Amino acid sequence: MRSTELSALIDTYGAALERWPMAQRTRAAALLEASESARSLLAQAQAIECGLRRPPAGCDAVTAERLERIAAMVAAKAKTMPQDRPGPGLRPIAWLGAFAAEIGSGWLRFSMPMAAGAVLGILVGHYSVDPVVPPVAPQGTSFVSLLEMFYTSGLFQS
Amino acid sequence: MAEFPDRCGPEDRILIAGIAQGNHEAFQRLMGRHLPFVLALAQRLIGRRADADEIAQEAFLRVWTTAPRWRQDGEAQFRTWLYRVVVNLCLDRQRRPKTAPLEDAGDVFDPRPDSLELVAASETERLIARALDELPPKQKAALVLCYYSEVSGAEAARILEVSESAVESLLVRGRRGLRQRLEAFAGIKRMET
Repeated sequence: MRSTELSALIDTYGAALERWPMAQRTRAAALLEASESARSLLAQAQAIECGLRRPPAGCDAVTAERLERIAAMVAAKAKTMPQDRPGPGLRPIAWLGAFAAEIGSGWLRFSMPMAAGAVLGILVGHYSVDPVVPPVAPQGTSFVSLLEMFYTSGLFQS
Repeated sequence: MAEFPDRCGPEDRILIAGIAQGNHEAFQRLMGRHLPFVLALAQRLIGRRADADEIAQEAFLRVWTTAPRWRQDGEAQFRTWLYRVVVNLCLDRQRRPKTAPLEDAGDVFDPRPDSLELVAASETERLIARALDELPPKQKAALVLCYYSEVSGAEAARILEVSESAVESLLVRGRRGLRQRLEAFAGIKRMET
């Protein structure tokens, strides 16, 4: 292994050798033992990562006074700010979604609100249909008529 | 580094349920738990103190307004969601044209020994902060989340709304960019001295 490869591996896996794949770690260890410049390269990368983990210094520090001031400003604004609540018309769908999230995972939590929305759409469509059907419309084949036929057939009553 | 809760634990869930009912005390307690780290993250990502303060405020006001709609379903963990809000607010702000407020113009040099020591000790940190600032925003966000916030690659992916392999790629490019910039700064410094 050469220093350029070590540098590329540091970019790929970071400067913590214990996180490297074993094969690369063994080869890097041999180079680090033999080369002063390789050790310097790794030490430099470790110093950079150490700097990345430290909080900003000086005037940018997160002080208790700064936190208190921000918290007070947010709390004051929240007192006059309304919360974004689901509208009353959508609440049943939201409840079904929440119920699905409680009882299951995956497709169920998406399909239940969608199914609720579909049922709601059919009901709204059915009850908002203009009773005067245009003369050109084939009344016997409309979706609403089919639903009505289905309903009056007695299949729903058992 | 500021101490922060690991996950959306039962306490957060109770507090969010309280906030959803309009409970201001629950809101204060949730802020007490998360504000230190939200502010530190915003400060690290945006660099400017005034902007970081505004982003922290905006993030918590979103918690307040959206709490009634927030659902704990395992996928949208509160901390992940909150960090995503902070990161997105920072990325939005970085896309705006930069204007430097007066308070960011730099501190007046104080010749007392204490301040000299502070300058020497924080020189590396300043260079790292400067190099970070020059990176593309998403690379910077990935580095800050994985090193400073110490979130896992999987959580960073959820926060940044990219795949885990995309996070790995951002980290590789970010580390390389940071190293190259720091080498360039060192070269400039050597030329100056």
